[in-house]
Amino acid sequence: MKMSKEEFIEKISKLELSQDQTISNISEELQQYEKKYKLRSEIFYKLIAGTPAEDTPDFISWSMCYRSYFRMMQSKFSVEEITAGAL
Amino acid sequence: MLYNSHQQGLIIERCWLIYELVTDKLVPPDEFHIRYPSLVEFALTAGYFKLLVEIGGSGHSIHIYEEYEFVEYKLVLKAYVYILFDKAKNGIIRADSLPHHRIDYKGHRLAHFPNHLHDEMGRICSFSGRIEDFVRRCCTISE
Repeated sequence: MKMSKEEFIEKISKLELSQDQTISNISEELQQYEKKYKLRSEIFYKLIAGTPAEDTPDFISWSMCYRSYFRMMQSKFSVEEITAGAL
Repeated sequence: MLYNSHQQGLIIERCWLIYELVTDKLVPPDEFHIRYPSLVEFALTAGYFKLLVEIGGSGHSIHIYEEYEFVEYKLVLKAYVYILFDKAKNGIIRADSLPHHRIDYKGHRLAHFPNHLHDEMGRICSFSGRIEDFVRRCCTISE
């Protein structure tokens, strides 16, 4: 049954956002692409993203997924480095 | 956390817009309403939204992938791909914002470059970039 906006906001506000879980999910998604195309994501991104060869549904999604993974890893490690430095 | 509360609020609003569109226009299955919050949770942490849901009784499904970024205080779509699949999971139409097409199949410049749509015949057509327009088109096809 469709949620009202109030119900939607209430459910969202109860979410426990887990960065580690999301990274794990994105890693799995990347691995599926890597297995399907027998190509590592780093190589795919360097060779194909931004070129006309990217113009397929899978490749567009793979690019987004990889950028997201990269952003999250950068965010995570910068936080950890700061924490390690403080200790 | 990647996003501050203002940015999270904008992502939530975007997810609500998509939820309203999908539920009002496309008749998703009941479990869609249950699992939707987890898709929003993913978007809030990953900065991109992904949804694949069957619509109506025709066996069609819609795939929505959006990547977000923030310019000043606004949420913008860094990239997106919207696809309508048939029962056999073959793409029927696809809209995206990759800048590899400049003209439509008639030779006219795209009205909202880089947004464009690959129609049922695989031809390049102008597309507004608005998900509302894509969903409207899906409605006419899946009816």
